[in-house]
Amino acid sequence: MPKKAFKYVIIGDGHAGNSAAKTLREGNRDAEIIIISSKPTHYFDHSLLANFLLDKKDITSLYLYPYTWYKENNIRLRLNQTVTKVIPDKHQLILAHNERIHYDRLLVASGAKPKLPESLSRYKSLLTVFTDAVEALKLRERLGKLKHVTMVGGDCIGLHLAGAMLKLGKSVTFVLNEYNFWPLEYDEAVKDKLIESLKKKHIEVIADDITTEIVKDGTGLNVMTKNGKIIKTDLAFLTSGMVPNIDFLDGSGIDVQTGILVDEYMHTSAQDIWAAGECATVYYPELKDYRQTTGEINAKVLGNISARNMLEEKKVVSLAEPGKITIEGEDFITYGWKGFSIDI
Amino acid sequence: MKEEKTYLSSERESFNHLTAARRVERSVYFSNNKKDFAWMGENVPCQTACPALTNIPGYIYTDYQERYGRSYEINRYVNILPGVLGRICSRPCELACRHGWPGFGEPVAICHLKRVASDFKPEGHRIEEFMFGPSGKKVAVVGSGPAGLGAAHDLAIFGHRVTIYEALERPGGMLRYGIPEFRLPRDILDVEISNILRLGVDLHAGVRVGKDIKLEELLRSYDAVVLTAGTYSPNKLGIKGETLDHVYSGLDFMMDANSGKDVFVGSKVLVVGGGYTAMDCARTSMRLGARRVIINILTTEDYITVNRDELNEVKTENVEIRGLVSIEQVDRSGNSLGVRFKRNRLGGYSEKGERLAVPIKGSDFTDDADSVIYAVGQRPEISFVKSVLRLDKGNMITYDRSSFATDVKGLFVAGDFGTGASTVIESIASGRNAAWAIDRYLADRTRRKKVVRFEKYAEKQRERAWDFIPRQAMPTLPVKERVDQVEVELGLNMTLGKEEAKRCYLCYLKFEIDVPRCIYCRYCIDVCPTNCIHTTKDVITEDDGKQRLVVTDKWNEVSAIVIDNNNCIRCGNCKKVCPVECIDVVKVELIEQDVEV
Repeated sequence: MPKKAFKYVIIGDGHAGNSAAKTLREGNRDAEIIIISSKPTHYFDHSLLANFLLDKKDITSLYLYPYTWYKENNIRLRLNQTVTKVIPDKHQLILAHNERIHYDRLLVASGAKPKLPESLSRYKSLLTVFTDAVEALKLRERLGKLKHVTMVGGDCIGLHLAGAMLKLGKSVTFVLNEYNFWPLEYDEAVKDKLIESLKKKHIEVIADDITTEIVKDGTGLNVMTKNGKIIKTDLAFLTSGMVPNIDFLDGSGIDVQTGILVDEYMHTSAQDIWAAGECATVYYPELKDYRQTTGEINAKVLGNISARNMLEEKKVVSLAEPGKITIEGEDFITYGWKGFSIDI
Repeated sequence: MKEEKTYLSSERESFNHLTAARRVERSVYFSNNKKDFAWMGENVPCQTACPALTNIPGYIYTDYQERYGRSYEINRYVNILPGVLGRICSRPCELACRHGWPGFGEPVAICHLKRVASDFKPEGHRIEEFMFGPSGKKVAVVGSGPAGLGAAHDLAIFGHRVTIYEALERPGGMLRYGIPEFRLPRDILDVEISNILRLGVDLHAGVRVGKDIKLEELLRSYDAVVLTAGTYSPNKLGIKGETLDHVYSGLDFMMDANSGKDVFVGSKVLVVGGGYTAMDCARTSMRLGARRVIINILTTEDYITVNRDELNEVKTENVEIRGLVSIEQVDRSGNSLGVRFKRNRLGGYSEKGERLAVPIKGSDFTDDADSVIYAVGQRPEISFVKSVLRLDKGNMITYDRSSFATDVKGLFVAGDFGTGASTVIESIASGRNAAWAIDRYLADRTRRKKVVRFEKYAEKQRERAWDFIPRQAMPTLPVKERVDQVEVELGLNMTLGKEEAKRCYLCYLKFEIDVPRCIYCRYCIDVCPTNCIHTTKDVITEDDGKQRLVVTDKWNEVSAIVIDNNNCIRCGNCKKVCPVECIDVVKVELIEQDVEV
């Protein structure tokens, strides 16, 4: 058992971070636990985010723990504060406002961010992302003005969002190709099934094409594709998958390969630093391979295992139960997601 | 139609308003002071990082001015093959570029701008060469790769009679036989090689020294011989199954493919290695019909030598990268190969600073393949010099790294043949440096030297707004059209090139406050975006010539306001706001100059 006065710092307020905080508190009643998040709102269920658009509920309805839970568990929540640097040698973090925070043990659970294909980087300001509660609130306010939306890519967030948009009477177009379809492998069988399913729901699908340009057109946008298609739309969502959110680790010396490389104990290459959730690339002994994990289930499991190792329990990582995505009644295995159906 | 007023046209306009005397005034100064060399080394990081010391800000600015021929020549003065390097250079300059430093964005696309100069130089562009008179000396160059071409070029300039002996059918070495044509079109290579041969260099191709002609004979017939025979002996994996059919070394594979031989790859190819050869093997395999190609690397993408653009192209062509694996053995399994790997963890660093990989116990796994290509480095083929030269413990030739001289009088070594595998730009620089050393040996004095050239500029040359222009992406062929040897990178057009050229900070500009004229108003400090202007107590010159500011915030200690050029992005904000115009801009360049007797 680690010493009583340990200071645990967790970067990230998602499933992995909160799961770890809970385990740490259970394992050490006296330790100081801090969660730092760049988001202004706290831990909520991302799978409810699309449905949040459909009803008039308050944003607090999404929260998994009330604020009081953190107080009761003596977990300090520092929201709206961005970590800009980690200095492992000094056991320090630097926040955007230049505050330095010391840690004894650090968990990086900073999650993932929407993947912006390089070819679209210059259109970043014209693309809408849909990953947190603030973005959901903003979108809900604009819903009345929207008639048509375009999904640039076909990830799970896009599929969830499309379902909600259809229920709201909006028309939807997907631009899909093998590079921005996720988290399933884009093989012909999945592709055909998915396109068939989407079309049945009166969703326009532009397959095997790439979004090359986005330009403003009055209050709306024109989304242009490589094959010359021009989609007139009110909003273009970036739904091309996620990439680990680890830019703040540049220069820290912590090893990365897509995500932060961790061993079977979720430990990074730096002393007293662990990583969990979508920001981590984990070595699974049972697979004899590294895996970039996604989704809520994995995040919770990995957050818990990381915390147990931070408590010196020597817990080896194991695979979480796979989930499934159901398309047209057929199930496709996916790792890390609870599973959902697009057969809306 | 009203002419659009551009930055350049307004610059010309202001020039036209000057008096004739001011128009012809050109204040230039040359320096040998180590302080000035130190300033160059510290303040122009791209040029310092370039093994050939290319004047990068100089050619980028002339690209911006649309003087492409001049830009090409600025390149050619030192790196002799701008069209080639504008395509395949390993770009150490871009890693050092100040624009890529934390907080400043992405490095300038220096390499792509070199190609811009090559692509848009005027038709019939005049090559500038400054030839010395004939020396009456004869020099043999063994090998016509980048080091051999670099040596031959400069030796010919020095007035020596140069003959190249090339073992293969055509000149160019690894440029022709190692690099695939879809990265380096052969017409570009041929033109730039012919520009060297036109200096009066004789080429004896298809003549292998050691077999067709003895090295001893060359030593008897020539006043000097320089060995630039490259690295044509592939490193072995030292594992079981390495000699099986369809298991190739990357070098042999590329040489066969580039020679137009029919090479079997099958449907699935496993490439082992993380260098440019491995990438070339993978991309070539795709073009030869493979449906799945996996490059297996010991560490991670962060620690391989290829640049990001190249890695991006590899992935765009659907080649997969499998990181953190070590190959263990290859077995024949029916018609295919079974390849056993182990997963790795990242370990510490080697003495050379390379990241190490540590295999994970019990992590063995097997993958199948139709062919396996290992590209894990290559070494010089030294059998023909063994009888003449001393070898070190690592079986490399012993020679003096500064004079390039071996123990044998008149015999020199340059390029990869001496150092082991390096990059094209390193080889060219090595060949040229060897030529200077050989000339010193033949002429018994130094006839060329490097000096620092200063030229005062009236204008700051660039706009602050240009700092926010994003790096211009290289247009490439769509994947579907990447067949055979069609060049993949299409080159920046003039518009993109000019936009990219604007991004260069022009670090060769030195911004200096003339202390006697300064009124200490501190306006410059207020508008500086990088906090590079300081109130200072003193400026100390270190032994190596570098200068260090002693900064103070106590007014009674301030002796001057000084610009720390190493953190300056040459935005010109300070010059713009200075009420007494006490900030001078000086262009500082490293140039080559003749040494009179």
